[in-house]
Amino acid sequence: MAVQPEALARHRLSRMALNRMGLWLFLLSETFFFAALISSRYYLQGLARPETLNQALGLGITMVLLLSSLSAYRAETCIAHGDRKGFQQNLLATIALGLLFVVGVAMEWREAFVHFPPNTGFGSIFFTMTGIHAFHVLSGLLVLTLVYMLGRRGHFSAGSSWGVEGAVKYWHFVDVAWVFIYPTLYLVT
Amino acid sequence: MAFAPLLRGIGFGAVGFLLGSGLGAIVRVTMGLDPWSAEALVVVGYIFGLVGWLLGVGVWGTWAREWFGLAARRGEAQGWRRYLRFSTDHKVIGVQYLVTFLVVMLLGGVLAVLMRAELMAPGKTIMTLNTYNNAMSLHGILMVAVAVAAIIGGLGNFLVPLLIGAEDVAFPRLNALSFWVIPPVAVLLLLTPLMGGFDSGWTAYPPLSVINAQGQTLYLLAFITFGFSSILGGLNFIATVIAMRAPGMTWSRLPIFVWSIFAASLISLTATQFVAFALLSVLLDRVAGTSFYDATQGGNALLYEHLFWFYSHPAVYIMILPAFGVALEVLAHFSRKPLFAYKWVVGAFMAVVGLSFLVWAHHLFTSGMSDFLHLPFMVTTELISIPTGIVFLSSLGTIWLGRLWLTTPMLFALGFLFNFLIGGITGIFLADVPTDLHLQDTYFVVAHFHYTIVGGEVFALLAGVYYWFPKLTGRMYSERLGKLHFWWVLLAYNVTFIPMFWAGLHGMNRRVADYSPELGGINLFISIAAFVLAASFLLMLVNLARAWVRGPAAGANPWKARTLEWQTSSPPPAENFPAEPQVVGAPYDYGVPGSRHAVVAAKGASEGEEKRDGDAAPRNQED
Amino acid sequence: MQNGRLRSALARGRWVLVALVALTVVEYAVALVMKSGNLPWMIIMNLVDAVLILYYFMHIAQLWRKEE
Ligand SMILES: [Cu+2]
Repeated sequence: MAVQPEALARHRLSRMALNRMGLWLFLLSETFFFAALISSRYYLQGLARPETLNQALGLGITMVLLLSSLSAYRAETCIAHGDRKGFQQNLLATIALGLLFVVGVAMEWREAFVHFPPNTGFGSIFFTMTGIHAFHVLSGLLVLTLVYMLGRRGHFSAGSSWGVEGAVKYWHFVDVAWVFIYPTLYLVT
Repeated sequence: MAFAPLLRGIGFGAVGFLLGSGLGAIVRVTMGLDPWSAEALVVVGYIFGLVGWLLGVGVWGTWAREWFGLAARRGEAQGWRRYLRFSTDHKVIGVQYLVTFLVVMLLGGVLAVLMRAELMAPGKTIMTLNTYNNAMSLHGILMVAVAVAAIIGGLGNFLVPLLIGAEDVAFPRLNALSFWVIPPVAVLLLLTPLMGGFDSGWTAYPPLSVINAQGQTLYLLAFITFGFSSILGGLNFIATVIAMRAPGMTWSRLPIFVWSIFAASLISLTATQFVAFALLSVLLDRVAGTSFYDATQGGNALLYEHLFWFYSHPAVYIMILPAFGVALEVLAHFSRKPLFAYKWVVGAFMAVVGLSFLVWAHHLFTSGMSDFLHLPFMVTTELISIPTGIVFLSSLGTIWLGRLWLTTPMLFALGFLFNFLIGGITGIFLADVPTDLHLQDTYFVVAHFHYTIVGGEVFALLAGVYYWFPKLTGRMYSERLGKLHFWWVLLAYNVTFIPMFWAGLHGMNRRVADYSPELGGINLFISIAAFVLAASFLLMLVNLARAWVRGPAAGANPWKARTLEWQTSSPPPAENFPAEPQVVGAPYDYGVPGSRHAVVAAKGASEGEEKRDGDAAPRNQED
Repeated sequence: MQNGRLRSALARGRWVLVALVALTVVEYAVALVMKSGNLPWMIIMNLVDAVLILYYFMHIAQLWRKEE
């Protein structure tokens, strides 16, 4: 007798609400990882801020990521209201902005290798923090791309868009993480 | 074919490993580095190999196909074949965890026997000093994994959905995933000797763990993977307890074991991320050229100790909270009395969760941490004895004037109380800074934490295994052998570990293969007692294996207990209950007139044919 | 009015972005002006950032609001 894992579930929450709770719990867990990262920066480096940081680039990629959060929000809102075209366009814009952010981080790394390479105190923190964040960005881009492909094949509609919602929530979380990482690396003294 | 999923997993894993290490080599060449670096290639290869293994063993077929718009394949095998595949049934997963960690526990036990053999006499006896360090480290991490996952992963998975009247956990496929990342962890740890082993102890403090043999890298990958499993497991339990309870199963009617798993899951969901980062930073120092722990480059080894213990102290509550849960559960059922001070115990569990995040630095009293931190961490550590004391009082209040039914599980639960009391009291000397400065890193510490984890948690684990064995397998073990096992373990355990307090007080240092000659006599005594202790587990294996194959049928409710898992057949059907249970009262109201915990209608039965929960006098059941 | 609701939701998103960008510019300016001890101000502004994203973009209130 085959058990249908989801079909048998008999909780009072809808599957959607349950998935939502699971994702939030995962994001709560991830918050602790970023907390460990950020507290390590202060433990090792105190409030020291190298003068060689490329401030313009840091501000620029932050703006790009914030903008990508808006387009992700628009994609989710559009599909929830049944606007497929807006959904597809905004999702594509989000992926493009995400890629732009990754390019920005790559440029940042090229300079950082010269000014504070990974085998220095600040370099260890800088490369680890931006690297782990970039890993989250890349995995987010992977999920967004899958959602985009599924969307093109006609998946998702106003009433059934958990895939979109989950991917977009994760993307926003990556943005929240950066909101804390950016000042920790670039601004705090 | 029964082994097809495993073979596919291994095949995909091997392909992934080759792909990943090849990719790693290409990246190294483009960066202008020597492409051959065993550690770096192993790391990249392992990440890809892990993904390949998971996809092959079942993630692709039952899950990932959906991400590409394909239909997922569903369906379960029957009989023993279920245990060899990516089953989403929480009962199968529970048994998978239990059997896996029983094997790991035996491996860790063999290492302990080897260590005690080396320690029978001062100087070198059967192994080199380096081999001893590696055996000691491997014993540590294997047993820590058992302690973290055996009760939660094994008993928790099997029982939490049953106890709350659900058909499964909230995320069944995620649950299967949490289990199937465990085999790579075991394989990595067992492969460490091929890469020189790791001699850092299970705590893996830098700078040693950054500069020692390459086996350390495998240890780091294994522990990070294990943490991943632990996080996902905790997430699943929290969502399950919040959202999957049967109608009427209010928070104040939850069996105490469910509460203990919920509390432990809060810790494993969150604190585990700290150890993940701690281990990752050591890994980066080893293979990516960062300098978190190189003091000449702005690093600081104390950072690791803070990060590590921010997880690893709370982790002892991931181990011991479910043990409290099992012990209280067993004590209440076999005392035929309501659990004493239920609400206080729940409060105590939550207080332990909260306090566990505020005590980590008591492991750093002798590490060179600032002196002004000693007092606050001493105080918070000692505060924890208040909630644990409440749990202890509750257990005493529960058995007080009860009609104790001294079955094997009950004996183990009572043994838990005895041993944990010793473990708790000796902990005070380690929490107090003045005494800890002298006792740190001696056998006093070894004895203390073995009393809490082996005498405490493992006794509770055994209580739980014996208690729920009839439910897991549908068969009954021999009570006579079970009781013999109990007395054997209890005596051998205490005879082994009590002298370690004395040895520690007389200058026996932990983690070293050699010691001063005047400690030879006591060490010989401890070693012989340890061999007797180890042998006792063979008795349990024989008893349980024989019962599983051809023991007498246990029936649905051999203990005449009232909680929900006993109101369905043994072992329960795939959907757990014939119809949705209705919870109408508290779980432990034995002897309260007119009380009942739950109503489970038989399939298609009218109201009159409901199963009564076990209220009958248990006395006639005793052999 | 499906379309009207969509339009007002999109407009709300734009305002949230304006607020986030403005806060980031202020953070940048504070970092330029305050050469030491700007950490508490950063934390306060970051928390506001995070609350804006969690509330408006991630709909955290769904967790405790009744399902519709
Ligand atoms: Cu501790």
